[in-house]
Amino acid sequence: MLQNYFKLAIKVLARRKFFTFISLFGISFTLMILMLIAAFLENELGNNAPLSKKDQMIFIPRLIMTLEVIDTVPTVDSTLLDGIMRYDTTYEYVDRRPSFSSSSVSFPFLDKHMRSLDGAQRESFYSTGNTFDLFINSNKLSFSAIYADANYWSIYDFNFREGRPFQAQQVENQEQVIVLTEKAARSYFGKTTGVVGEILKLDNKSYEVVGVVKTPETNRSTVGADVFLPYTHVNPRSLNTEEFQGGFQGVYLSSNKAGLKRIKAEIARRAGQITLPDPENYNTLNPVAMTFMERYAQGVLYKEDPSKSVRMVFGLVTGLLLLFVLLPTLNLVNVNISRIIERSSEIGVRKAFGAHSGNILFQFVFENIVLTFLGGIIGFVLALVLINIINDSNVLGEVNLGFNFIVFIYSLLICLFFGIVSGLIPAYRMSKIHIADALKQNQA
Amino acid sequence: MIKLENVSKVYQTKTIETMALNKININIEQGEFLSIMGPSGCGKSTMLNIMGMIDEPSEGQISIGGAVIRDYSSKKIAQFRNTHLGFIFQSFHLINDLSVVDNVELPLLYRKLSSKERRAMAEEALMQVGLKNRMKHFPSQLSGGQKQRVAIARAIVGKPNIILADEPTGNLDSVMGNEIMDILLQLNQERGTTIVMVTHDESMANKTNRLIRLFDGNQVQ
Repeated sequence: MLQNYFKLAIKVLARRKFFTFISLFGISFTLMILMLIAAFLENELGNNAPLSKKDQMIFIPRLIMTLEVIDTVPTVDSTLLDGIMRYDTTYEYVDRRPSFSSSSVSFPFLDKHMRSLDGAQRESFYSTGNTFDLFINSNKLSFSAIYADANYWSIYDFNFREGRPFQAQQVENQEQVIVLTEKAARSYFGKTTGVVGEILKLDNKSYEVVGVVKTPETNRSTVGADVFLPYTHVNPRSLNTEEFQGGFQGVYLSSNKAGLKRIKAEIARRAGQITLPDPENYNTLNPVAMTFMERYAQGVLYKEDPSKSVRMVFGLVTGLLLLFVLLPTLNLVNVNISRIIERSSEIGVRKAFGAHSGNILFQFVFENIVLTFLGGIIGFVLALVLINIINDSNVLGEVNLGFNFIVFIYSLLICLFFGIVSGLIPAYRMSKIHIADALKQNQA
Repeated sequence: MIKLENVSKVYQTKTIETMALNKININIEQGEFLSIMGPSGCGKSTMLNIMGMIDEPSEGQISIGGAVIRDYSSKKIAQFRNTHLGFIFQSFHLINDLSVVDNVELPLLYRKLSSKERRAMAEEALMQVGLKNRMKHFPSQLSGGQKQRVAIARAIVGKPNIILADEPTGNLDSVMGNEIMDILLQLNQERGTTIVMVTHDESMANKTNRLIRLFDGNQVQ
């Protein structure tokens, strides 16, 4: 039976070329966009190295310091009552924040107050957003750098192509060692292998290359750099400052998801115990502790409460995806209704010869699934082409989009959704048609 | 075999009520070849549709082989049609996108048969109507008479014991019409298939065992 339905579906598609083109274009274009979005989200939010353990991480990217003042605003009302003026005073308490400062955290603050947190297996403090300009054979190179401790490498699972990470002892001894990405190695040394042991000059200092990592395929600032140096090489003032805010951020690795809450609670508890040196300027301290998703969402849509950002971004993405899926589906429903109405005589014949409504429903939904899978294949190929173009053009920086099994499954499910939803409504309507009425139409 | 008791059919619109059939009582015996005649709009096709359970009577009841159809669910009716009834239509109602053999196979799709069994039965039916050599063709490549022979093959492929034919020769010239009639007569005589045929053609009707005439929804002969 399926073979028969398949044969008929192909014949109908071949006969109705314009309809087929419109349908396939709609499906394949939408699927291409959806696959692209799925590939992008998978790249951004999937468990990909070096962020494979991102769901077990809590970040402190910022420290917010505020001066919170409660003002008392009295309001006096007067009323003339029985010839006597009466006064009624009300007080309103208004929160004000005359001072507000949000910045990354200083190393001493993290080192002194935020080590060995309850629930955390280990932590790492590192500084991002540093850049070096250097010249090789009169070509200017610009390297972004991360100053990190040794724990950094056990939290972020970089893929070492050769060599190894710098060790705690090397960090402590301020050894001039460096880890490069393949991209940096290629641009500096002109090669990606046999680089370990070579010397790289940065800011008038010579660093020995101890490791080369695969270039992370993400723009996340926590891992997206060209070179990685021991944090002890950062400007000494940054390591000895008494300020709470500075150029560092912290990350904590929990052994499980339950540990994340404990880490957050511990950060808040410890922050509450800290005495602020200048309460005239700032009297509250809030080290912003966030999960990966909260941090990502806040980067997209800033809300002071990170969980609100997650909800809003999730709602926004879901809404956009629904819109993307709904519009072509509605269009397909419309096209399908007219297509199926044209075949009412066939429906009449099938029912006269023993098909019940379920058979008719199944047949037309099946035909639609065939159509959407054809559209899916075309959309898949289009998406592959587009992804290659995007990757080659570097329009998304280091983001390297690619297909994987999960994206493929998503795409298949999307195809199935299209096929069923766009075929079900018109097929259901037509499956209920009266045989005698159906036979009167479109006589062959 | 087929029994219509006090069957009436009324078509109702917002402004008008049309009595298509008025208290019809007919008993058709097994193996009978019955023709129904009457002017256009007298209710011939309506009666055939009611016999074929593709339309429901407004009043009265129909029983086929002793079974009262009113008691059947729609799924059971579909199954009953598939097993016991074959239809031939004036305008053939072939599916243009399917080959001749696929068209003939159609009723068998709704039975639990393998594709091999279906194909063998369809080929056999096409052989009976003399069109086995055309099985890979499409309806658009056939003449009117050939199309109707394909429609007959489709009607008989499931070996039903009743065939309901609505003006099967109406769209054909007399030569082709006679050919179709010969096939139907052969089916009736050799297989004992009960056939009910609506026709406008007196000469065709005269070849059948019994003739009933309708006028304005009433049986007049």
